[in-house]
Amino acid sequence: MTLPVRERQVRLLADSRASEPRARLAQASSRAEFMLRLSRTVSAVQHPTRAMEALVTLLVEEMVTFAQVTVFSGIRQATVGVVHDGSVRTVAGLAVDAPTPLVDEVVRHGVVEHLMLAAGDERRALVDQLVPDPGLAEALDALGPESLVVLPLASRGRSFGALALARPPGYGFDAGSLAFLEDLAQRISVALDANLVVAESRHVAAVLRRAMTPARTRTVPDLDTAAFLRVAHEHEELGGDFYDVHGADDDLTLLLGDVAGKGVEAAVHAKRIRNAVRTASHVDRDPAWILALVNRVLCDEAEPDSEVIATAVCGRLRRVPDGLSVELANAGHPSPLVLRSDGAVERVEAGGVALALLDGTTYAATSVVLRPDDTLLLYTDGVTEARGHRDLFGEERLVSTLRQAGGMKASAVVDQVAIAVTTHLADRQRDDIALVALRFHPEQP
Amino acid sequence: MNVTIDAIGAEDVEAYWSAVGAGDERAARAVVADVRRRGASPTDVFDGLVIPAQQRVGQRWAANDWTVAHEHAATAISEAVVLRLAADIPDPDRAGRPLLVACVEREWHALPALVVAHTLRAGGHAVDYLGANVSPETVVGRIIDAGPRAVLVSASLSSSLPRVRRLVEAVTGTGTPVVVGGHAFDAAGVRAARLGATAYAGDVATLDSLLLDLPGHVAPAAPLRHPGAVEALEILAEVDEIGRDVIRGSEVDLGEAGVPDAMAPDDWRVVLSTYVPHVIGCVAGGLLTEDPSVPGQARTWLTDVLALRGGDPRAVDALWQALATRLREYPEAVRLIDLA
Repeated sequence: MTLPVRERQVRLLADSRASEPRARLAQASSRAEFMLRLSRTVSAVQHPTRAMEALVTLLVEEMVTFAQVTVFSGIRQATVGVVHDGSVRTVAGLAVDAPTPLVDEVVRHGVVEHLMLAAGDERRALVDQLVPDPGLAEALDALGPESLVVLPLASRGRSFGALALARPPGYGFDAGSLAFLEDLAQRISVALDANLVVAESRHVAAVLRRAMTPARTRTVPDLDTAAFLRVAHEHEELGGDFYDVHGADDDLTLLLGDVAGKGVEAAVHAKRIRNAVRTASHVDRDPAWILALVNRVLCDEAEPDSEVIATAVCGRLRRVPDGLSVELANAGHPSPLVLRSDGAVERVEAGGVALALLDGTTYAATSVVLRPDDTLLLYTDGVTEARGHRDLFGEERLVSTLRQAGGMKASAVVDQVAIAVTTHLADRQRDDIALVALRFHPEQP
Repeated sequence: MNVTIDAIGAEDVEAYWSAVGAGDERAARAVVADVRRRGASPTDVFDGLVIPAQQRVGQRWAANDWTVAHEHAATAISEAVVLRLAADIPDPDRAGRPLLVACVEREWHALPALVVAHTLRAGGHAVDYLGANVSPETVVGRIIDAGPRAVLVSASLSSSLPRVRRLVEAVTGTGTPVVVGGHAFDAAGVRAARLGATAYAGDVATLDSLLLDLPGHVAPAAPLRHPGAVEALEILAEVDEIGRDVIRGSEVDLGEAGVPDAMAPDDWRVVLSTYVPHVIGCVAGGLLTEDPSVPGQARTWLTDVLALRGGDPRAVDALWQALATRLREYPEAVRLIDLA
């Protein structure tokens, strides 16, 4: 059975050398229009595999009966292919797991392959070297194509993939259409390559981002915690605010801080500080000692051209007979607040110089005891310095928001502050914001 | 199906509701554990306990029985319950491309979206839940990372319609289908269609069936070029200034009408400053969707809310008058405000 071949599909790749000038002009214009649409589609879809799917779908809708695109990225390989009226098939994984020698060869040599296919086992064998998805290979073989074109995809001087195309029986690829297809492959290469670059940099950012906050929400018995973190430059998804909770259930270290600056650089320093605190707390969980040690490390490692200044609150949480004892040391950070279960709000003052400013700084810890349903709130200055229409959000608004939330779940406390701050900011440019609430909520009060 | 009806009785609904109202998470979890033992599935609990309780939470606030803080405390209990139940729903075996579920920016009513996300998971879909108040930048970032099949956007307030539009533009710009739902939309899906959404779903069942027919790739939402759309953007650009002027304008008008005693001045200011941006957002939403019922419904709602707080209904008239005066250079907006 031959599939119906639409006029447009034929026209884009038809041999026009002998045609009327008008027909040649019409073909040139539909080719240009198609090329533009194709590269726009591939550029718009910023996820590489999705872009590849959109690409092959458009190709079989408009031009060919089979289209398959393969992209190598590091040691991984992704192949997406489709036949006319079929469903899109994707094979992704390690490059070695999908042996497609024909594709590999085109990528290695960077030269177009134009293969003539004879019917029978030989054709099937060739198809199998090209198409990793068995179902798709069978569908392609069943179409009975007389020839196949495999075009290299190359950008920035390296070839990173291949595009394979087939037309229905009775139609082949002449010199004119091959030149057009090479042009097309070049456009596709640039668009796909941009997607891959974005995906790669997003991957780097995601790895860094995971390093900024605890890997998973840690559940500690009798402790109800919630956090809100928002970064200023959302396209980077990285900011200088960080927090961490670690240690044993009955002796925890808590850290919240803010590195001056934003974006990747701030994130890297935030990660260093978190690591230093983790290492130090294996030796001693005294928060004043931890901050002093971290300060010394940062001062020692300071580089003349990159000034790192950070503020942080470090706390130690231990059960005591009448509640949860919180020892807090503060390096230049906004004072944490304690929200009592009845709505009273207390500031936990513990003065100290910001980190990495002065070598040899010492810190003194302040203690406070949380009784059942009291909440400790740590926040960065992005909260109080949120710029509104007329003024900054300020500690006063923060305290009056908290007063209504005494005894509530940590998530309800965090939500209400986050809503108040975000409403105050409206759509204005914002700073990084971090809020962490810990409610002492013992099973046996 | 009989199991679900049997497992959750009227007394369970009441017990859950009073636990939520009291902010007692343990009591709420005990009710859930009880119905689970009697055979209710996580989604039965969503449908039978969580959603009905949440509807009552909203009514309590509107009726002025509960403060906003009380509303948040109650909602937080249900959220914790849903998250705990979500852990009982196994992740789907086939790791297909996920569905992204997000609340539009500046919307904090996350519970409906959370329930939708986990109901879809229970139905075998891979779901990536982004939570409340999600910016278009974050959504596009997740699209690049995850290449989702579709983005599902929840919006509860009609003043969010302009932000829905921004999100629709961002998502369709990447070729990804976007399905919208929530109280911000009309049941026929007209507003959703005018904003350029790929589809509208009023409930999870509709959503589940329309997911089958969603296109793999969509064209960017067509630009909105009608006069109202241009006005909407201009109004939103100076929402702070318009809000301030409207508050001032209403006070003057009220003084002339002799109403100021109708409400304590502090209450009046609080209500105004809180809801004027919402009303302006509804006017912009009505302009974008060419739907006068958007500000119309906002007016009815505000009248009810004020009435239940002892306010004079004429206060809302004064607000509307001040808004019309302030926006007089925007003919489409004035037409819409007059219709409301």
